[in-house]
Amino acid sequence: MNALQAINLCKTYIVNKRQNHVLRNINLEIKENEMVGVMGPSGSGKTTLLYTISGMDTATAGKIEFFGEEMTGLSANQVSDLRLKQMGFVFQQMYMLKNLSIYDNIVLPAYQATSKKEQRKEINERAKVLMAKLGISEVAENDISEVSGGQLQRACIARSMINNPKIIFADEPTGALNKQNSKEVMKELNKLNEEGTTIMMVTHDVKVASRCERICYIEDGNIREEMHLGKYTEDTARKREQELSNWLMGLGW
Amino acid sequence: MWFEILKKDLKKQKSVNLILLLFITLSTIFLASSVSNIFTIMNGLETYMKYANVSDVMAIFGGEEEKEQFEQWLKSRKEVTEYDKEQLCEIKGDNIFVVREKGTDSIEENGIDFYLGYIGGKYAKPLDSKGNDLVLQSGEVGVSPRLMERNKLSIGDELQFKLSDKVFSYRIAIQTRDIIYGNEMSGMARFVFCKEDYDHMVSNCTNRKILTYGYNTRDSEKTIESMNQQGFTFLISAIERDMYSMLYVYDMILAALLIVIGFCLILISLLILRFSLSFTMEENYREIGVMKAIGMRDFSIQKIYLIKYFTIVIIGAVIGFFISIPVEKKMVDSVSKNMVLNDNTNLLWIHFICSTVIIIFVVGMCILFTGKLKKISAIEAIRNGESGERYQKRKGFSLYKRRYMGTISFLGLNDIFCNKKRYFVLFLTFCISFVLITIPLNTLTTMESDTMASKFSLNPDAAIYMETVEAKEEEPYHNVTDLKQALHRIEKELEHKGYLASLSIGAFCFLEYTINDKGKVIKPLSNYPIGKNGGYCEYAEGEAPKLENEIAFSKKVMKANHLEIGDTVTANIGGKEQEFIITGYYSDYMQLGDSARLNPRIDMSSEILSGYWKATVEMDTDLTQQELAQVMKQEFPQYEWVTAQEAIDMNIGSIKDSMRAIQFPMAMMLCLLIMLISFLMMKLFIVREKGQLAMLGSIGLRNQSIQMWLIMRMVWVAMLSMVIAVPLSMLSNQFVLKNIFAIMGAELKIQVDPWKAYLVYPLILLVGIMTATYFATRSVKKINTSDMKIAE
Repeated sequence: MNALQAINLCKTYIVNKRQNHVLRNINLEIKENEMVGVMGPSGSGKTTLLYTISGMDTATAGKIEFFGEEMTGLSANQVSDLRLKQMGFVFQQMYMLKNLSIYDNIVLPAYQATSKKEQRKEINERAKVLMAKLGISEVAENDISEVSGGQLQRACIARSMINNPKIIFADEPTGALNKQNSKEVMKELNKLNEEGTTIMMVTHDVKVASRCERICYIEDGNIREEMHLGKYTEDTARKREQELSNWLMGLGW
Repeated sequence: MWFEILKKDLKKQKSVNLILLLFITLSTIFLASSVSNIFTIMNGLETYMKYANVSDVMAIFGGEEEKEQFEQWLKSRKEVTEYDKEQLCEIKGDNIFVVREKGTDSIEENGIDFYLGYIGGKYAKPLDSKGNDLVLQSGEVGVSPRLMERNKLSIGDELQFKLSDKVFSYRIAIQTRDIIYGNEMSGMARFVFCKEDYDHMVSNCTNRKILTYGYNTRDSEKTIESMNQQGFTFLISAIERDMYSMLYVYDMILAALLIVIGFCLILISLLILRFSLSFTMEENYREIGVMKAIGMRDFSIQKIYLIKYFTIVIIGAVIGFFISIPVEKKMVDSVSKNMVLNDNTNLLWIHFICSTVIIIFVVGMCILFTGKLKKISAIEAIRNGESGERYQKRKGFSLYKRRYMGTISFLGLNDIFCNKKRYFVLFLTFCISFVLITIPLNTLTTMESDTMASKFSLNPDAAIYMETVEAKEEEPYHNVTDLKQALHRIEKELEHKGYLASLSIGAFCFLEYTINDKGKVIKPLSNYPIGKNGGYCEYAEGEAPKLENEIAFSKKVMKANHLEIGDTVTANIGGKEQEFIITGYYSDYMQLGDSARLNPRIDMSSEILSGYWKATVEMDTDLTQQELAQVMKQEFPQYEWVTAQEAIDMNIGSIKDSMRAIQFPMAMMLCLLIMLISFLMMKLFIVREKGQLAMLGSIGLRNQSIQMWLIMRMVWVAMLSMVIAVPLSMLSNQFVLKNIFAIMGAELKIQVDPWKAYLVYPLILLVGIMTATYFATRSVKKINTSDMKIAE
């Protein structure tokens, strides 16, 4: 089943009375449990595609289907609910509420998603498991300014996972991290994907992208080509990276 | 180049700059109008006295019998530099008629003695509203504004005066400003005519004539003491110049309240100004960092902001200066009905100075804030003023520990505790507003309370009161025998119609008392009780005088003359020296707290009374005072029946009306002010927190939830302020209102209607805050994911 499908998706911005077509008739299918990477040069429309397809931004034309349900016809509140309960988001900058601790930032979307206060106990359990899995249990009570970038990004991943989303959208999740932290974060995302979560990720990093099952190369608002790498395994990492590199070079990357 | 940067900056940060401009304008308006208002009112009374030419001493005689003796005495006193006399003709309210379309109405007496007077006197002159000497033609009459208002009179209306069966008609030509007789506190009201009309009217009438002598002296105290020693029988009272200011004590209460309110508004505006300045400066930190990073000098960066804020402050202060002029005029108008105040245009310099102060203050703050730029490095500025690797510990709560608290409520509360300094300004503003709103409310509640009635010597448990006891067509009584007979007569009349009532009354006269140990002579108003409960009074210490040699004084008299219970005083009553022992003291508003209470056994039949207080009627009835007043007015229309509240209103009605008049507009103004502050603050918060808001939206929080989060912050601040405002309001009752009421001469417990003061009005303000915040947060809908990049 398709987790996400974009049909003739267009996005146009009007800047200084001039139309800027950022997405031009994009057709994209992401299967359930798939991990898709979106690559392309700067200004090609990668982030716009991610934001539009996830409902964070509105499409100018075209259709988006989320697990078979058309999203474009939903109200703003319905889209918000969908994002809260069924989607997770990881951004390049580790955006969190600075007035909350790491732990509170993680549980916030889950608390907000339920009106029953009794469920908070269950949410707390889930948060603890997630944090343990992501290796950030020891910084739970810390402020967001008291942890490293890698820990913060893992906390963002934990937050994106707290409502057991069907899909995670990641926009340059390692963009602000060093090599070691990038590796740790990607390891977690691969693990989540192995456990059944669909992932759509925008990245510039070949090494990061090589961990995806499929790569879409976007240029001038169109998907120019796609490359299937198959499920990621640690032992094929170097080979995948090389293949991807060659493919990208062929596209003029 | 600087102007290019400035132009771009003003355009880019349109909303923040506009907010700052608005605050500067508001601050200038409040500061300039409030300070100018304070000056106008403080100088007002002195100006009025100067215009009216009030003499150092005014001696009032209840007849012309001792005219020659008194004038001889005046001439003999070396310290008396000049004097003049004026005649007034007494007239009962029953004999003054207002000509209406459907017949005539008697003028409403309201416990006031009416007099006919004329223009041309030297002292206490009646003036027009601009302070000029009154000019009246034949056939014209001048009436005080309060009297016109009470009787719904307008310029051009016809009044008829009945004197010894002759009726004289006059047209109201002008509203007078009459410093003594235009103020109901004096208990006297004067209709002013030209001298020819006055002589024509009173020449052949039998009405009592009052003679007033105004004189200037080098030593008021010595002259009055000598005058009192002469033993003039018809001398009703001698009033010093300073005493006249006491007539305007109620206007002063309103003025004092306006001054308190003015200061609070100034405080609010300065707080807001400081806050918005630091806020907008912080907003620019990143840009400052970038400029530093590219090598610009500190002063060059500072200059950009100084030019920017200087431009804004100049525009704001100039707009504020011009708006403050009509605002101040409106504020002064509310207290200038009975007074002649300075021409406000003379006080333009105050508006100018206040506007300049705002400019200096804002520029000073800018220099202070921009001065900080020198101390921080480029990278610190880029990091929004944070020092980099080390951050301050967060001071909020933990969400997961608040199991039963809604997420949105928690976030709102947590934000406040994490940014205490930021919300303190709001907290203080709300707090001041909540306290301010309770001031007129508690003043009115107190004025309408039983406590107030008792301070006016009115037994709140009495069945009803009578304003006058004279029968129709009778002239006012001036001796005890007449009063006793009147009470007896009314009791009989009531009994005849089935009302078994007992009447009592407190009669007034001015007796001289010599304090035995000190030899000092005092002349307070003496209250002589006639009837069972004449002169109701609650004693603060000791007990009421009962025996023939007992007396009580007001606390004010006791304190001023260092008297104690058990001390003795001597008075000459009926030509006989009598010694009295002080048995107690009390605190009330009679004669502004300057009074004595005689025992009921003493023989006062030979003393001339200056008047009497409301007659208390006691009888068994299930009716309220209001209901009974209606019944009695129908059964005995020849008398004026009043409730305790009406009796109080006759004395403080004008201030109560003024308070009531300002209560609603003030509540609305405060509500609008805090709505505006809430709106602007929230706009600033949104500008600053755009990134966080965008992030919350992106992870799936509905716009309504985000809006609710922001609204909840304000609600929490407002609720915390309310909680703190309750004890603060109690403190303001104790230290502000109580002292203001004490101006009238007695201590009074301020009454509070907790339902209104602590629930209804704060709720109105809370709804206002929520509404304003809601409208400010509507822009949340326009925030999108791209705004995440502006995250703090």
